[in-house]
This record gives sequence, C-alpha cells and structure tokens, in this order.
Amino acid sequence: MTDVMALARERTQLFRDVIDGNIPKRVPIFVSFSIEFAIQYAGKNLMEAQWDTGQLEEIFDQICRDFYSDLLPVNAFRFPSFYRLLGARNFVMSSNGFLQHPEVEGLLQEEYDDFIASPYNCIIEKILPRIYTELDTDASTKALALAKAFKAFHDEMGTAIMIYGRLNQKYGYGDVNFFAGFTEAPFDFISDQLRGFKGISTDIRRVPDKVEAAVEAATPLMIKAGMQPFPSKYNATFIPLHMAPFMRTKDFERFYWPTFKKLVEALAEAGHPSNLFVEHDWMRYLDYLYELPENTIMRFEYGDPKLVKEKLGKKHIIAGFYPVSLLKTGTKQQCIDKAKELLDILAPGGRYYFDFDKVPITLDSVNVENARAVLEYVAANANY
Amino acid sequence: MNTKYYKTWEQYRAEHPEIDEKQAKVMAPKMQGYEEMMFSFIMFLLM
Repeated sequence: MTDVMALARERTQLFRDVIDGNIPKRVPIFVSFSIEFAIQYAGKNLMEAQWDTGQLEEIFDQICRDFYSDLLPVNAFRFPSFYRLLGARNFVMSSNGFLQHPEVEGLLQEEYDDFIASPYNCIIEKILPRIYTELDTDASTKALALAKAFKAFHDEMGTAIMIYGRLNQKYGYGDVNFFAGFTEAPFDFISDQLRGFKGISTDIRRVPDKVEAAVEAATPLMIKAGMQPFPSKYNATFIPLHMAPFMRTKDFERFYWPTFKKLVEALAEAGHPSNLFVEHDWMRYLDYLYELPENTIMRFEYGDPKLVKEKLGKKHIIAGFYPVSLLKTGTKQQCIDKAKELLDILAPGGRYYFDFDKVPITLDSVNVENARAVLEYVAANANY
Repeated sequence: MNTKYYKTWEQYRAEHPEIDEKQAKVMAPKMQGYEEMMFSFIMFLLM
C-alpha cells in the first residue's frame, strides 16, 4: 500500500469513528475554501477561471498543497456557464468576476394557490421563467436554452468531479462525503428565491395560512431533492439553514420547524444523514435541534460552543465555531489559542470535527499564514 | 408527485403499451435516470 493510500485510510477512519460514535485517534479536520478564494490564492483571473474550468485543477491543487484538511478542502458547484445560458437573475457574474446573488421574487403573492396545488408545475410554468429570462420565451427557444444549460451543468460538474477524484488520490483525503446531496429546509426554499426575504416577512403576517400550506407542499420536493444516489451512513446531504434566526420563535415553530424536521427525518429514514450548516445564531433553537435524528452533522456559525456541546454533543456531530474573522485580525498566537479553546470545549467525548465558522470567501478575508498555522496546530496536537 | 412534468417509469410505461417486456427491462433504469437528472437540475436552479 502506498503512503497516500494509507493516509486516506487513516483519514477515512477518523471520520468513520466520529460518525460511529467512537473516539477517533485525533480530531479530524474538514475545512473548505470557496472557488473565489482558491482562484485568488493561485493568482488567476476570477472570471477566466470560472469559465475555463480546466484551470481549476492547478488552482485547487495549491489549496490542497498549502492548507491542511483531512477531506478535500475545495468544493465548487456554481459555474457561470449554465446560469448565463439561462439568462439567470438569481446568480449573476459581476464585472469583477464574483457570482452575485441578487434578491429575486420567483413567485408572486397571488400565486400561492398555484404553488400549493402543484409545486412542480408552478416551478416549471411560472417560477423558472420569471427567474431565468431565456425560459421566458416561446416553447422552442426555451427548450433549446434548457438543453444547452443542462449540458453545460453536467459538463462543468463532470469536470469538477474528475478534478476532485484526482486530488483525493494525490493528497490521500478521506473517503466520506458531507456534500453527497443538496437540499434546503422547505421554508428556506420558499423564502430564498421564490418570495425573497422581504416578501416572506410580509407573507407570514398577511397570508400565514398560505405560507404554511406552501411550505408543506414543498416538503416532498425537498425530500426528493435531498436523496443521494447511494445511501450511506458516511455520506451526508448538505442543508444550509438560512431564515430561522431572523424569525420570531412562534413563527419558527409554526412555519419553519415542522417541515424541516420532517425533511431531516425522511432523509435519515432513507439512509441519508444530513449535514446542516447552522447559519448565524441558533442558540434559541438548540432544544429543537436536539430532536433531529441521531448523528445529524451540525456546523455552527455563531453561538455558545459550551452550550451546544452540553445540549447536543452526545447525540449529534458538531463542527464550526472557529471565527474566520479572527484569522484576519488576530496574531498567530491568538489564532492558535482560539483553536485550543474550542478543542478543549468541543473535542471531549468525540462527535466533533474541526472546521471554521464559515468558508473564507475571498483571499483578503483571512491572513493565510494564520489559517495555515491553525490547521497545522490542530493536525499536530488534537490527539485523543 | 402531482405534476405533468415528471413521470416515473411506471407512468411512462402505462402511456406506451407498445414497449415489450424485454425492452422495458433495459430501458427502465436509463429513462428513469434521465428523469431524475432533470428533476435534480430544475431544483438546483432554485437553491
């Protein structure tokens, strides 16, 4: 067996131990850098590299070479080609090469009944044409636009997956996948691109029954979207959580929680664990999160790690909390001390892997020397 | 799913009785696979 294969087996075992509820040899590390960060770090042109995705192997290789992680530390899935081919309003590349996400309203308030009657029909007939201008045209033209975008999507994903496979082999990363599927909480789905932040905030006051019915109608779609091709306890469906921290608790209880819980439970029953990015501050909702199926992965952005460990740490898998902002503003020693502090709180008893509180988006959002030092510190010192 | 834009293999087969058993066996995974790929793509466009 080559050294790299042995390394991959060891890293896989670290994560399998975490998932199996055993104490691993060391706290595993899984950090991820955005495609923008990676391109800037490699000194390449943002716009060119996102269109000419053949460049990404060399670009991602530099991240793998320079930043310690036990799983592949890059993951890109939004490419400009298919968004452009569809005339997207929801993801638009700016002149500096960043893919912006403007607020959009794919569903009008007066269309709730259509959505409730058949969410998928409504998506195809009303929502997509409103968000994607190339689908708001005659039937023949829109058929060709969709065909081109579908081809582009699978070409880009195919290129990316091949690159990931080669980098996994080259660097001996662990063989577990926390992004094996992708879906959203039903309320987030309705909020993000259908009604928008402003629209949904108004709706829960003016048409609460329709919001509740729409969220319920969306749930089977979100469950189906989150199913992975090959169920495994070591692979997870990624669910980024958005709206709950901005809601009143009584609204969360009515509109967000019931269908979100149903989603995570349905995925778990079908053999797909969920990997939640618990965005912003969910400390109000920890008792709810506890109710989710055992071994749900929860990567936290903000909040109290001690409270999370105490309330959730024996049932679920915890990650996150390490403030990316400190990597920008702190000294190297302060950054390492913060890692020590979090390890002291979160590592005991296992069920924990090290991650930042969010993905560094741009090169100037961190001091790369600090980021490297923290990752190397954890890799060398977080032994059980 | 209550929609005219997504069909399971069984629904498709019911609409195409001319497909014999032998053909159906080899067609089913491929046809369903493309149906699932399009569903996933459509949903991805809104996430």
